[in-house]
Amino acid sequence: MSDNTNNSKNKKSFDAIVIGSGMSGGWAAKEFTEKGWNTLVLERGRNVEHLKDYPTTNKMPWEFEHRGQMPLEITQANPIISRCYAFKEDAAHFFVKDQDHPYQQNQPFDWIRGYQVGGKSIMWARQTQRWSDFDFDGPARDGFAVDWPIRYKDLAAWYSHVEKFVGISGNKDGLSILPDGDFLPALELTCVDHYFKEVIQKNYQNRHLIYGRCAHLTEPTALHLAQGRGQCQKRNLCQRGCPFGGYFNSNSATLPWAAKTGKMTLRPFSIVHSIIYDNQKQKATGVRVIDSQTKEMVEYYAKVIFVNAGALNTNLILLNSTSSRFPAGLGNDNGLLGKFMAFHNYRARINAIHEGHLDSTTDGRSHTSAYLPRFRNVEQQETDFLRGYAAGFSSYRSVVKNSNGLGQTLKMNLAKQELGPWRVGSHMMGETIPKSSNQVSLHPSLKDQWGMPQLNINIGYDENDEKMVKDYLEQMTEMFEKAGFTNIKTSDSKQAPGLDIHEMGGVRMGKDPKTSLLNEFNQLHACKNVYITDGACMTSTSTQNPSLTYMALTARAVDHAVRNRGI
Amino acid sequence: MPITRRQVLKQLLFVSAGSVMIPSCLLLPLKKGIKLKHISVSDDQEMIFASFADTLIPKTDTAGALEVHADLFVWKMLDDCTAKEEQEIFLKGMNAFSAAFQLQNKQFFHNASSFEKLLFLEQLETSKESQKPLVLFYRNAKQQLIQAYTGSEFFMTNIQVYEQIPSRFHGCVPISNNPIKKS
Repeated sequence: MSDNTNNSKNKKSFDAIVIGSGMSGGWAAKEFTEKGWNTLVLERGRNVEHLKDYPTTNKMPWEFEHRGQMPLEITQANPIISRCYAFKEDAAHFFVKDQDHPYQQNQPFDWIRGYQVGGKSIMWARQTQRWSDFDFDGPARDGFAVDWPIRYKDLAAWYSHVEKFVGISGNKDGLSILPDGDFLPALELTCVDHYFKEVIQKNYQNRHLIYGRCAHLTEPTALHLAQGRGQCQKRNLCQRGCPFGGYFNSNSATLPWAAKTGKMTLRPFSIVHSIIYDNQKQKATGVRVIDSQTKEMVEYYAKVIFVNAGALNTNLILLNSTSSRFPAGLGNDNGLLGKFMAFHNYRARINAIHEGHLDSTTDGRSHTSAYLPRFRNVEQQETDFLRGYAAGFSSYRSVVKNSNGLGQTLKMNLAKQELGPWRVGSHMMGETIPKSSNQVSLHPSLKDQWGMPQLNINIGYDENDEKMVKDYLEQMTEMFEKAGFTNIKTSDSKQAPGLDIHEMGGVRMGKDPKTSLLNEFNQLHACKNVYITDGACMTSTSTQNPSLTYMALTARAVDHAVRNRGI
Repeated sequence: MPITRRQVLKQLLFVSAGSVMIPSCLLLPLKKGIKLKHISVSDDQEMIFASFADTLIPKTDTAGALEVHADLFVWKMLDDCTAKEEQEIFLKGMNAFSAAFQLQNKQFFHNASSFEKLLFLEQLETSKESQKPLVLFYRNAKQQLIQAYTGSEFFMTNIQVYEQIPSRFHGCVPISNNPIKKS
């Protein structure tokens, strides 16, 4: 067991149990323990301690056996995870291999997972944007899913609370579509970012290219230093875990913070089988855990249970938590558990060459890029598809490698580094519409090696997504042309849902217990001492990278649970 | 900063190692046989490829392909990270290369004089027959060796220095102020 463990191993009762130690579970742990609650944090994977368990963090490129590339034996045996951009020799140990944790795909779905303390917060891409009321109003205005039970005003203070602790680098851009937050200084945009920003400003009223807000300590505050984290050194090797704590993950920030209170018990190797429901008390009383190493079943008890297992696994746990009161899964009176899943559409890309600004280049490394917030259907419906997309934009000076010649000539050519033109590129981040048919369920017979039912995943694109891909490519091409970019190339990867690693929903929030699973404080309508604050709670997806919102929802829900003393 | 010191130390070590460096012809493998998991490579193939690497990127006043074991890295990548069909194409190309050289020079590539070897590679370098298997092999092998060489510790600490901790980002700097960017 970890150094973070307090009390005795035999302790079975806690004030709160948090299932999962990733982005949102880490926040639940921090908030509960800070408020004095004895909290058990259950993590299905192994422990990963900040610094100690980042085996590749200081490695030089030539120190990797295959200089970063994954051996064919591994990629062939694990086709799903091998499609993930970060599954490389330096971070592969943080990703789940296909073979170890099978699931069933009714339609292609790349389920990218990180089973360890810290979860995917170790390898995330660190982009953090607030939602606005244009996002929360979406379903009600456009008539899909159900109305969110909260609005921006309910979450604004919690966004600030989270941002101050996490450390978000950004500019106050004053955009109503993307509210400003409590930011650390931003890095510079490149010359070509600035140029493109001006072109967009000149040609479009509601399109704004901004610096991509991200969870990096550009100038750590006292609160960050107290966490033992320091300034980001612009290494851009974040997926390995950072020796400086320069970006935010659970391992460097929330979990050690929680451990310091002496109130946290962290139990790795703990696969949650189900949540225990007591018919007489009419609430959940604890969880059943399978020890992944001994395969023994153990029970733990608490007043309040937070499920932060990662969107799909949270669905799985609830579906598997059956009782005479909830035969179809905990809180599932309306049969909607596992349904109305959605994700982000990352299929389309565009790149081109910029022939200007040849007298300048960049120096050092940036950990983010420019960002174009959603501009489609913001104030009103204006296209033949619902909602819209945000876009990343990056520009860099290319380097021309000269490999002509032989012998001494070749060596001289290789030693030179000649600059080519600037290259520019963008990718889409499209909102998808949650539908009943996009759903997960438990496979009736197939189990994993611990006897847990395998998840059936049935999630696909629809006509709206296809139209959005087309529109993104048309609009970006138009903007690129207005900027005079040349050699414009567009592509549609047709990648399966899941590879965006933004799967959401299945346990959605809403006002009405008949049409939603969670209320405005993320409590199960039908079992109020169980809170869901990870991606599973999302009623709609909007276009923002979702982690910041999960963290804010989590802190707000813990506050609610503590105020209500667990009901 | 500690990393900078470390880099400096590494460079010093390299320089001192360099001062006792042996002539590259002696670095050719002594028919020990490299250990690969998926493909088998004969001693001759190993020797020929090493000699190819040495001719392409020779040791001069700086390290060449053999000093940084670029040839061995190419074998490793071929063995671990390359699809079976590609492996076969590479090995067949290698044999075609060897046979063509023997036909022209009546001896193995690795036994030939530097002049003969260089002359033969020149022919392939300037060949217009880009779809000919022999030329395809040459271009692929050259590309692989360049990657192995430019990704080596020697190259990334001496020729184009890799900076693990830049600690800075400037979005727009004039090229004249950027020392490594002079062409």
